[in-house]
Amino acid sequence: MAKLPLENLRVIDLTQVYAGPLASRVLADMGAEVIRVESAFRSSRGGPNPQQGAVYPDGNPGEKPYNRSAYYNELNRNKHSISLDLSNDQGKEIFLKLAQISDVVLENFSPRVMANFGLDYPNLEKIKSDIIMVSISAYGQTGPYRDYVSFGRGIEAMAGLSQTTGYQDSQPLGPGTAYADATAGLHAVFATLVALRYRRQTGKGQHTDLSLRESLSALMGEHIMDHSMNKRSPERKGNHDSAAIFQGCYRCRGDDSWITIALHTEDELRAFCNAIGNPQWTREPELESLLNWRQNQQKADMMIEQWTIQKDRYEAMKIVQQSGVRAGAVLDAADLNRNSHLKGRGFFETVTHPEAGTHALAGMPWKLGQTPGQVRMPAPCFAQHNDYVFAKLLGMSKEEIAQLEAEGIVTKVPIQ
Amino acid sequence: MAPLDYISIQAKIDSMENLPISDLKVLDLSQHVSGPYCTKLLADFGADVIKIENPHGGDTSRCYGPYPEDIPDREKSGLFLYLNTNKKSITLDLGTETGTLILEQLVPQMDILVENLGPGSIDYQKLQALNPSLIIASISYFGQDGPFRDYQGSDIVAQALGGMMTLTGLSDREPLKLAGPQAEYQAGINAAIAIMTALHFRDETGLGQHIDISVMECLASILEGSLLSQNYDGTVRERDGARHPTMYPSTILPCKDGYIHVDASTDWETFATFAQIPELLEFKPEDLREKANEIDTLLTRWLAQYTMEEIFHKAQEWRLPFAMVLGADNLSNDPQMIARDYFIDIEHPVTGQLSYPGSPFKMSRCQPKTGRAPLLGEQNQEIYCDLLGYSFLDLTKLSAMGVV
Repeated sequence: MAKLPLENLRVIDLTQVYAGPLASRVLADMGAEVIRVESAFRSSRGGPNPQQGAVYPDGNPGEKPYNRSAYYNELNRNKHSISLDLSNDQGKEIFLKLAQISDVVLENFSPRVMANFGLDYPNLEKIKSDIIMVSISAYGQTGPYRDYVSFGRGIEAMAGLSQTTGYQDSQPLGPGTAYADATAGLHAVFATLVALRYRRQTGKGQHTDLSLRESLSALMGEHIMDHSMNKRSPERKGNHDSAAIFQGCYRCRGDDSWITIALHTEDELRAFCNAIGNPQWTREPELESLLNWRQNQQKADMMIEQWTIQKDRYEAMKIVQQSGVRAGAVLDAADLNRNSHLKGRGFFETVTHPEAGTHALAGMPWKLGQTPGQVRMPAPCFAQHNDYVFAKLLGMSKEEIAQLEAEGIVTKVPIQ
Repeated sequence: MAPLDYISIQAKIDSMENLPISDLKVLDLSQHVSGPYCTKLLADFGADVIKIENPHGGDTSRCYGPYPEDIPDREKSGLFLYLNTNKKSITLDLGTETGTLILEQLVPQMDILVENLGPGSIDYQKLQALNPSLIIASISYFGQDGPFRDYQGSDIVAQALGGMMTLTGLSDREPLKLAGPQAEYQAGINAAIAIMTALHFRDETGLGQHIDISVMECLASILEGSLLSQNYDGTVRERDGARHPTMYPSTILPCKDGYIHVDASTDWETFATFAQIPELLEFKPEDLREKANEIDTLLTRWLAQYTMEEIFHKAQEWRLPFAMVLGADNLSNDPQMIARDYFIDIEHPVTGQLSYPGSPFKMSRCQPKTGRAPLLGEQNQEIYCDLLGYSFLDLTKLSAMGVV
């Protein structure tokens, strides 16, 4: 097995929900030793009762739903888990000992929480001067909204993405996934690696303040520039939101079956017309050039759909692609699982979790030629690595651990 | 002063020279959005990025708007200006023999090469022989292998094939792309992470490597509940407008002066009490998603009396995660964005000063650079003459040949 690129790093993971766990998952996939520190009272995977909105294998939460949550298990593969009560003084002391032998602390609590624990960056820096801390929050650690709450969907609205994502004649709709969380999580990985490089150069750690809203705004570049240049706010343009490209999404044969097609140049326009058999309408003067197609989008869309509706989406994709024109079928999760291309690339990995069973999961997001990373272990069961961390890493005796368990500072089972 | 403002203070103390990757040289053969967003992140945090543009017009994003007053000008594209801050530009025709030769002269001096020219465009073995510690990031729509390898892609095509579009839009209408080239941006941030990961490995071992980034897979990796629902309990998630697939209410509804993201997904009772609509309490939390149309009507009537601002701040006082549906015009005077100095003013010789989106995150010891995007071929002399040792006469000849 090739060496993993980040295998000499230790990360303490205090994150929950989606953005933070995704960030620590990428680090774990690439070889970092990620230790999740979980609270029995807010474990983020729920307690003995099934969690609202959670997905369980075959819809069955089982006796220990907290070890069977699909969301949790997907986002926490390759990580370790310990339980620790950070509101307790002894719990804090243990946390600081762990921080002393770690490189990175990743958290996405509300901005006041780490300070309330006495575990904010100035305090961590005192016990380990080169510690790297990355704090993810909705609006940032400062400013008038710092204590405001939000999930990804709210942030997509506040960053301008929901406003522009929608049909020309619909209300704002926004993305159908927690896109802001994913974007924040990935930027947090970049921030962590940049801070590690800076530490390698200077020996200094630092604190990164990453807000979901600002990291998503970075992907709204041309909209913000448009306002800066022309003092206007972009409108909703559905699938036609590019000024330079003709593109759209067209109904194919079958139920909820669609294809996207994009034409960038006059050559592609001609190739496309050829591919669909040069019907009479493509020779009309009002559809002569790509510019005409964009100006008469509604008509062009209607005519294209007369062709696509007769075709299966994959068949249409093949015909259009073979003419050198960009086209892609609209795929859902079931399609992705069956997709020959993703299979051919080894995108999915099959993982067996001791309590949740065997499932396919999306594997590495990209392939590093020499050190590709891999799913080495399934997500941890609650408190699975207490012994490894408390005894092996921190050198505590069996008696000391038993004492912590007796006092409820360390637990074996989450309470909620 | 807010308690954690030490971040901006510390960053100002540490000098600009102290950027985390200011020792790195990056050769950027990419254009449009994916590669350039990756190299923008690297350049903003200090890397010396040399962008190679074709002499016949340069990066394609120069031909995309927005432009000031909508008048096309290759030096004024908002998309290009934003994505290429802090980079240098040289022109070089890589399709010519001389172009390839010059590329091979540059490669030994580089740490990183980023390209999105399409699978197989780069001879990794050859470049690695010239520079064994070189990290090459290849971004393509479908990856460097697999049956779709040679298909043509674009942002909307990747959003469709990556599983994102089927989840976005109204259930009875066509699937919808996210606004802006989001698939490309995702590939850019993934490429930047992959490069920094490979750099960590190189710092330990001295070895470079080739990274294969597929835009389609970048999206398929962030489908949240969609793939896992399918794989764990067989449910296929379907698009349902602004509504969250499982939790309700988490949706967008009209209010007095615009739209508001309404969210009670954490605590229905608090929400119902806050809204003071007695009928709401008659609905059981487990029935909410099913009765969404009925409840939407009640909520829309209630929201009509409030402006976005009013209901947003009022709900936040109750710790309900409401949000305003804002546009770019609202962002520029948003009190939170202003308090955090998000936007930065950058001077440019052709467009004058404009306000740009700032850094995606704030670091306590490193303040990103705030330089502008280059003019087409602006650093030709610096790179060809000062770095590679060509004379002015050589440069004139190359230019006459159309190579530069």
